[in-house]
Amino acid sequence: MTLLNTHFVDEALRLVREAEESGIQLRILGSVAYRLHSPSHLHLFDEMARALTDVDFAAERRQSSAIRDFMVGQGYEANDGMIVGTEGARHVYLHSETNLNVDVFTDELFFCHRIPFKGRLDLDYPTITTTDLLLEKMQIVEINLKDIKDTLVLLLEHPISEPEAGRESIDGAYITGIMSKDWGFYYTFTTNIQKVVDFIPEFPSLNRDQADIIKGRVHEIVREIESAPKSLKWKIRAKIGTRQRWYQEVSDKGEVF
Amino acid sequence: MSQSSESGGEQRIFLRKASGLIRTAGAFDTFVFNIGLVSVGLGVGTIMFYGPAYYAGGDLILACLIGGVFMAAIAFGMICWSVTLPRSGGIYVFGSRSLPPFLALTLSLVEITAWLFYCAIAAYWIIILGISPTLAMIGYVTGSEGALNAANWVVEPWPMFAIGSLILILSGLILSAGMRFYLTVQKVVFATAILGSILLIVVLALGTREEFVANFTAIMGPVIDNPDPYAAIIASAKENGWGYDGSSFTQTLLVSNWAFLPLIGSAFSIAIGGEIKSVEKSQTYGMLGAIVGAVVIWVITITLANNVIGYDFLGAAVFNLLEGVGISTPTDPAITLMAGILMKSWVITLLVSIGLICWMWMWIPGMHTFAVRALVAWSFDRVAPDALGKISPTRHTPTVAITVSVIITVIFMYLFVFSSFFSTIVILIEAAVLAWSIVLLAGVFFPYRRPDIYEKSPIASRKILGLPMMTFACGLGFIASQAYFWNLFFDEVAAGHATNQLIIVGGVFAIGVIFYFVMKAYRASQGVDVTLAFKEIPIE
Repeated sequence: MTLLNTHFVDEALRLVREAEESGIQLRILGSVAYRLHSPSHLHLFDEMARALTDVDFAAERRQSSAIRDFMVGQGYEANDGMIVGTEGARHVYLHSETNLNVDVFTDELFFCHRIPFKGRLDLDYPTITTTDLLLEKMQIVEINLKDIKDTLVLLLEHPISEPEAGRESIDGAYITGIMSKDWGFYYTFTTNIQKVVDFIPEFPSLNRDQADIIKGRVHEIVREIESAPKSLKWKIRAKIGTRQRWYQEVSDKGEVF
Repeated sequence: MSQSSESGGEQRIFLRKASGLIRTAGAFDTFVFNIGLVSVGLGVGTIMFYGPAYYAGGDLILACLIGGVFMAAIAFGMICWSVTLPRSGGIYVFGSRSLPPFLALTLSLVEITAWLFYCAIAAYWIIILGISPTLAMIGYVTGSEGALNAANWVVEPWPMFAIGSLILILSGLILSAGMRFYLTVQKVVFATAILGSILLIVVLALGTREEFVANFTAIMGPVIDNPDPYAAIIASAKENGWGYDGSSFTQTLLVSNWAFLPLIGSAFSIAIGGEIKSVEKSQTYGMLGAIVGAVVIWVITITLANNVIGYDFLGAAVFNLLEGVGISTPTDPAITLMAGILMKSWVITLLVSIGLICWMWMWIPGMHTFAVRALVAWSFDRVAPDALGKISPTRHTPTVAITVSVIITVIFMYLFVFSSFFSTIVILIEAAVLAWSIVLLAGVFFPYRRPDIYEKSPIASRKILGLPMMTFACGLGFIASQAYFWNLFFDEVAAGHATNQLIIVGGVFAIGVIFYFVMKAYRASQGVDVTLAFKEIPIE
């Protein structure tokens, strides 16, 4: 694993475990979660060394107050301005000694597109589900090479399946349900997942069989999405297309107060 | 969430900003927030109410244009500040990174004292300019004694205080539910308000002077007991000293205060700078859009009202009423009442009044928000009690700061209703303009004094006349704010410089200084050096 500061992974796992003991659900997302969920293909992750500086969690908003108390109790300093500015949708904590930055997203991850977490944290442990991990990358309008690499590995390691097929598979029906209601997310998702296929040749460490597996899974999820019936709202929005912005703008991270 | 920043360096693979934050308010939200704080309906109401009466000979349309241009200059400076330091907290944020700490906190305290005072005034005006005239008009047209009695009852001190307090508390409850909820409510209220303004314009556009005089005579003749009340009101005002000898530029400049005062609200989005998306675009659109929108509506409405109702009549009726001389209408001769008389319809009055009430309402949660953001920013910088930054565990809103702001406005409401002295402290607005002026002056030097921060601003590379854009914009803003500070200073009706009022303003400044040094000493006893917060470079 070419992740620097890997002791932060241990810290993330510790926080999840201790939070669970306090009755708080925290689930890891982001790069750490990708790696935890793809142990068989760790070698395919970045050849480039990457310093881990923060850890992201998903949580339920109803536990916001308890999460803040828990994190402060663990030696983290809360950025209350962020909590006020986002009205509890996002917490930011910093450990003064280790400089580990922890972001907690409650009920949903909503950058370019909305990924709900509410009621889904029970589905996996200690991370969010592989389904939500795929959505997390595919919601990024300005996707970059590292996101594509992460997605390639995720798709290589996890098959597309129907619900209840297990933690290690991607719930195609769930993704299809979201894409059938939201044209904007559908457009970003299908555009990005095609880029994943297009960029396979850029990764020589993937052999032909692995590339075929990924292409097959992309084809499968896209076929499911395209064949699903769409809502009226979806159809009306599709007529407008990209003439109107179809995603939420993401500002630079900064202080609110 | 950390999002990787490395680029693939390939086509179709994009650079992405190092990390992201979703802010709450978009460009339209910012525009609605600001134009609500301009309170377009209230602005036209007060310009037409006080303008012809106390600035006879002043050109109301030119006054609106002058006020708009000067406020645009101030907004330009504030846009530069807000883009450079995109944080919530109003001028406190700007001052705290560019002025001595005690001065920054004092200016912020002066500013929010003024806004909370005007917040209470808005609740007061909703009753006397909105609810009471509406009930009165319904009474006159329908012959309902109950409506007329209710019109008088709501302006009795205790009912007025109770209704006003409920309005202020409602604002606090909305803010406690969260910024998103508030912005959504604000958009609905804005839609209603703008419909009221458009209806007023349509009513005036469809009417004629002859119709208005005939209807006024039919409705008010029996009440005033005069066969030609329109002419009698003008004649009696002239007999009592009201009048003018042609157009006067001096009077125009002075009456422009009544356009400038509400237009200050167009830059109030500096209070929520940290919660605005695409801050440069949104603040520019929000501030300048609010100024242009308000001035356009005012110019159209005033032009039509002058033609249909008559400048002289409006001036004479208000002059007689406020001076207690001659003949006037039994209820305040507000523009809403006149529109209802023109159409001889209580329904029109009701609809226009609802629009006016909505405009006045928009001041209240907006000004509460301004104060709340400043209080929270103080608390986070440790120059105010930590409790002010305390967050509701369920709604994640700063409930303590909201509650404190509402309580202060209820106290102001009490003083306003039960004390004739406090109802005259309009001079607080001068103090707020002075506070803004000082911060704008600090902005002139900011690019030179804090290049470490300014270089990170999106406007850092832009020059105007060889000067950094911020220096130029804040310089213009400083000149404009100084011009209106002195214009208000010499206008006894809008603000003035009465000694007892100046003492009040001086007292507020003194409280700010004392408050800072008390907090500094208190924090020092806790081992906290509050000046460190002022040296912090905002994270970009």
